[in-house]
Amino acid sequence: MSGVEVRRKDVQEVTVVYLKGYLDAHTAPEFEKVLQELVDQDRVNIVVNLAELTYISSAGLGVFMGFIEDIRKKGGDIKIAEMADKVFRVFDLLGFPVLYEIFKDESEAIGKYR
Amino acid sequence: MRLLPRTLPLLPGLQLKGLCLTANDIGGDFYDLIVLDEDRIDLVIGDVSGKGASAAFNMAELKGVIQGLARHFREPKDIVLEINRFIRSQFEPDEFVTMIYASYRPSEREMRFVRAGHTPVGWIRTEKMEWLESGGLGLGLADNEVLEKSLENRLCRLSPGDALFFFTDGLIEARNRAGEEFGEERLTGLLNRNRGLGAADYLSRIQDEVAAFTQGMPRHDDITLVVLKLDEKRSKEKAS
Repeated sequence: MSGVEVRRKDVQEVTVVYLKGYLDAHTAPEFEKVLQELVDQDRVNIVVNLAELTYISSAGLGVFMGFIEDIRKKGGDIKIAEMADKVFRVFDLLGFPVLYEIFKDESEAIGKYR
Repeated sequence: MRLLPRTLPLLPGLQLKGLCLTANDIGGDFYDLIVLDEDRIDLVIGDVSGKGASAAFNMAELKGVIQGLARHFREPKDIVLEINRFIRSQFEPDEFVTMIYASYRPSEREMRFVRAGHTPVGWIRTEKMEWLESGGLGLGLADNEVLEKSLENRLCRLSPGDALFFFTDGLIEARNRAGEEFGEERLTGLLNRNRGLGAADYLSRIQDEVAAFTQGMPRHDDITLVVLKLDEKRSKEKAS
């Protein structure tokens, strides 16, 4: 199976994390590493852009859960943007829209922090 | 895996069949059937997040907890809330479980269930099939107050010959050589075309079609299937 590519871009006080490819038990640590860096740097206004994510497994979804409490305790949040329909279906079945704000556009998600 | 039921009980008028195809990397799928009394049979199917030993241990522990809770509570919603309390206190924050908890009363042919973040239930009737997808968060994701608001009790009154189909996401996420997923649409077509089959044949047909689709590609997630089918009235009358 293919891997995942994780990139980050800082837009003033907000950090956008881009995930590309396949997020599962094997690739989740790469995403965890970036979120841990952000928490350590107190950059907790986070938007995760999933436009190029083709698959997410339960272990991938678990990464969001593993960090959200710490991030919200620090006054930040994880907002999710630009999911493909197939990926949204996985989030939706699990009930994630109750727990996370989900946006069609990255700019709209960034705007929520302003 | 011996954590799954060795055999399912034989119950009059009811065909029950379950199957778990494990992935190379052990997943956390499980199912169980708990016969509580003559008029109450509980069925649970779930998927513990993650892979490997940790998912398997969590699954085993959960199975024991559910067996105990089923004897103390009646309502699927109450049982699921207790399971959530357990997961929140015992599992890591990044671990969660999706589940359908269903309770069947043969005297009323009535199935009550809740869906907690799990794939929907297929209701296969003589003339057509439909998906039952009630609201409900996965377990371990939020505290009981939030979870309770999200959970919807569902009730279906079955007719003779009806079947309910439960499965885990490994089925729709099974891939072929081109990387294409089996998907919900293909599954709906398959379930519809084979509506008349008995529970055992139904499962075999699904297994065959998925195998034909994946053409030997390694499974990256467990696949669990459970079918509960009521006998046709005619055969029941003949038997009595």
